[in-house]
Amino acid sequence: MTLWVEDLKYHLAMALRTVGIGLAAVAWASVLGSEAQQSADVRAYVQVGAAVLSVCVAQWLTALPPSTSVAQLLRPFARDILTVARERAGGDAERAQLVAGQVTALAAARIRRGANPPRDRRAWLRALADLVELSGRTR
Amino acid sequence: MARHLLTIGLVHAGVLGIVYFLLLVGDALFTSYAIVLQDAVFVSYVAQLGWLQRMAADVKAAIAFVVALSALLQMLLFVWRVAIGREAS
Repeated sequence: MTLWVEDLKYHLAMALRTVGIGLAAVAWASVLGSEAQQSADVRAYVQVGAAVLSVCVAQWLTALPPSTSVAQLLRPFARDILTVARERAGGDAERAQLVAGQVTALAAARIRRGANPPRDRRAWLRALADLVELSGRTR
Repeated sequence: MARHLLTIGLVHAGVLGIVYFLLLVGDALFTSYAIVLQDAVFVSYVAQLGWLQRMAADVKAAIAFVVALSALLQMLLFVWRVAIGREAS
């Protein structure tokens, strides 16, 4: 998961969605104007209005890309983080939550700084959990 | 911030290319059909003008307008939402 690739994929999906909706709205307005036997001027105004309205609505419903929120950023890791935290907590639910929070913070910081997590996510998260435990011991 | 704005611009340029490419594919299919049917009038018309010239000016303008408007709004809303998020935090 490289951050800029995820952002690129998100922006591309949103652009395709918006342009698709906009072009469909323009085509629809064109057909309606033609069926209603409106003049060329009226049809042009209706098409521009349909394009502006549909693009505005579609873009308004578009959220921010994944890199702008930690929750979105770490959603694919959530299950692995919980598993690793439970492994380290040894059955203690409160400790598991604490470890999960600390591992999440470390993972978010590393991904934001451009780290590219390896395919074996759990090994990477276990290494982060080791860091958490190490920092806990040194305090 | 600049990376996102650049990405939005590049992505919309790509989308414009995709839409025009799909139209080109459609035009090629229609042209092949006319050649198979040996429609001499259409084939000579195709030989005189490129596909982009044959496409109606208002269709080209509508596509370019929608893509440009989408890029502009996506950039503006991104900048606005990021600014609001920073103020809130």
